[in-house]
Amino acid sequence: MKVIFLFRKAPYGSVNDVEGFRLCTAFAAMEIDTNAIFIDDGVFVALRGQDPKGIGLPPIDAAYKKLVSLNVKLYILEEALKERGISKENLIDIEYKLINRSELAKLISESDFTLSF
Amino acid sequence: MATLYLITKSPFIHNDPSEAVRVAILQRNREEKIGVVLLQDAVLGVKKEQFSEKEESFEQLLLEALGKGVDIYALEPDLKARAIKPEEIIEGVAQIGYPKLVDLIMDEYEKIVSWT
Repeated sequence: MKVIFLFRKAPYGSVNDVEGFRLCTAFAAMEIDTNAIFIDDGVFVALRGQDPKGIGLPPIDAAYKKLVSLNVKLYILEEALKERGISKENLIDIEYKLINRSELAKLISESDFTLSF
Repeated sequence: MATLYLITKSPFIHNDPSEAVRVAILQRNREEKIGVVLLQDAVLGVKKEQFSEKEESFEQLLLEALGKGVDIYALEPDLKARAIKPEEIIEGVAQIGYPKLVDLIMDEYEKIVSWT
């Protein structure tokens, strides 16, 4: 079975990324082929140097680093980075693959199901 | 009359922030003092040189607003959370903390427009 998690929202403004992460962890722990893809505002999750102490929340980038150790494959949509003026140097030190929209479409067609957060 | 707009959504995936700034710019023609506070995901819009593919970008709107004398504020804890550094922010946008936000709401402006 192959599962895809789509992260589409910016971190901290909503709980979507946190809830998606939790479910993603659960799937990965069951040794299911789990893939996390950051598109739209979801790419902000992967920004280096997040410091949310001032708004009373834990940093989400640290959580996503953990996914790699659970063998979750991470992908970032290159177009979304470009649209937001984010260069690769601005991203956290994490194992990920940059993909374009047609590769995204291919991944989704290959998956058994896709969950969007 | 002094009016303060509060914006909370990301300008990348919502139209609301742009719409609010457009209205604030128009209102500046009628009122002496107009302010816009960017909170939560809305602070994502104050970074310079983003939005390269859009016709009328949020950055252009903010610059137009600043040029017309609208005061633009961004909440510093929200900027820090989202890894936006002070030197990356559009010139003229004021970084404020929670105490200053309370001052703006309670003392400095008479009317609040919460555009959420």
